Amino acid sequence: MELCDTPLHLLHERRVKREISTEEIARSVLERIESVEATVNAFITYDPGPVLDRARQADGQLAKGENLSPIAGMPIALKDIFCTKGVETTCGSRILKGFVPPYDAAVVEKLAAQGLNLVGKTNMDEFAMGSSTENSAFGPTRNPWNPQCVPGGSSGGMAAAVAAGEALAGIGSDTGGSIRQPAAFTSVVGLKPTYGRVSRYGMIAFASSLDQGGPLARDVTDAAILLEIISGADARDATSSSRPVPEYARLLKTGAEGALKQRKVGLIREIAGRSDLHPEVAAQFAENLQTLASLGAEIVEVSLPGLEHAIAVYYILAPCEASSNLGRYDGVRYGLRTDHSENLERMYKNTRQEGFGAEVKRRIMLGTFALSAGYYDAYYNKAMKIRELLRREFAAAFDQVHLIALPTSPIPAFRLGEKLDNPLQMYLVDAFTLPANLAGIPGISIPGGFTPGGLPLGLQLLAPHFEEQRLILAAKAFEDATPYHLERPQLG
Amino acid sequence: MNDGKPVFSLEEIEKIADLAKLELTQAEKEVFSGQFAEILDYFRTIESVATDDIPAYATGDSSPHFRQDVAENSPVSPESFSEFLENGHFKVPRVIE
Repeated sequence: MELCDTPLHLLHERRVKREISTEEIARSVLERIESVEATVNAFITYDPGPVLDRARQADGQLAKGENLSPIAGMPIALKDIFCTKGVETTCGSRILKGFVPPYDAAVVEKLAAQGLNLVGKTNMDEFAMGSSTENSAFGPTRNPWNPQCVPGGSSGGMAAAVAAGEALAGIGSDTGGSIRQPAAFTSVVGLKPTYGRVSRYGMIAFASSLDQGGPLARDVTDAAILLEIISGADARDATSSSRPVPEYARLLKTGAEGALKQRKVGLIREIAGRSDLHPEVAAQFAENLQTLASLGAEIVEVSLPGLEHAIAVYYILAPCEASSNLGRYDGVRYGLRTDHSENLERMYKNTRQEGFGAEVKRRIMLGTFALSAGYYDAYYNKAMKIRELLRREFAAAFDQVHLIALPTSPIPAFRLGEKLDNPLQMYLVDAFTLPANLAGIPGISIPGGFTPGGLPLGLQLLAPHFEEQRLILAAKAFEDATPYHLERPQLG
Repeated sequence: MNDGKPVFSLEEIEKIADLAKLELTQAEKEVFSGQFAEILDYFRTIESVATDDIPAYATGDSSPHFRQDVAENSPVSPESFSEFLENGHFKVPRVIE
């Protein structure tokens, strides 16, 4: 396996033993980008210039015997939703083209303190609205496992970059599944933390009550390392939690053996008979449940009747919040501004018409409608009550079980263009990921097998609020028992 | 709502677009009017859920925390906006003619 395809923590062990240098690792990643990026289109902004220098700097620190963070000098990417001081940040939108933030997001500050070596900003659905990365103003990203297919979304560029060896790992954001679903479509690990675990400061807002940053990585250990770095309280995000951050990475030092022994894992009754569940997904999920059982887990049925309404609730609430959050893009404060407007009102409208893509306009319209006089109670208020019902159903389920297991996505990666003209069909793809965002609980997607046609599938585990440790330990036990995370796509 | 049959006239689309400060093309209006009818029809499935005694969801594991209302130095200096800075003042393009 080439260096750029190897998990970050294994590379770190080898460089500490002086078997390899950080510079060699960085060169391997840059060479891979050169050879596959034209096909994959994982990046919006890519700057190889300082990457080797920063890698050599880490090697210098190692030579001096300094104790180095596992990520120091390692080529890592960021979804283009995180503000990076002095580096263009577009959020996949034409309206932010040319926007260079004057400050770093909290996540970026924390990574920088550990020696971040930013290789690029990755492609995404515009303002994170989408499940395929086709809604990017900068062209779609292609799935490294099959370039005819989408990589999922909205963090599709990030997932594809990690899968293809164009970055060792990175940070994405998840509002309705945007970390976990692309992780499943590309056979990488994606973790959405509990709402409030990771500061949202400097992460461009889509739906503020649902948005959460989290890692995408080659394996569970890498995800745990990154999660530990980016978690923690932040006075600049009023919803960030002041709970202490567990040492997620240390959890795995002693191994995950026995993590599932005599643990109850919930199987959601309402999922089994769903007509939208692809038979190949169902078959592999059944096999994954057997693997969990072979590791000592007791599979127990739980009931979450509110799940049936999760898509409708989410696609009311998220656009409502988006319609408000995106009000700031008015041609005055950021990026694009159209010429030739006869008055201020026309300038706002023309700029927004020119700057936003179809899906963003659609959601702003839906949100504006649902919040408008006469409809607020029927849509927004009703949806917020069902969201509370769903939270309670999850809480009741977690009284009975340690974790809940379900497929990350009801279908494998689909072909580019297949769902682009039918927004509702695209929304339905998020059925299994958005319940965790609505309830605010953490979830992880780990490589969970392949279709007979060779497309990756994800196994998703959910845990109660602030129980990321459970996810990490159980996911590692599953990873150790299965070969899926060792497979790499063959590109060009 | 129109007795179980959601319909979106172009006038309604225009009204929402105006509220949202969006200027849509005729083609966009027509596409959205069909799509919104389908999407809102799907949304209406939530009407059947009994929620009488249920409060609205509250975000987070505790109430949001606020800092004291005391002036602090901004982490962002005017120099960060050098593109718009002229002689220590922000200069923005003219809008009103």
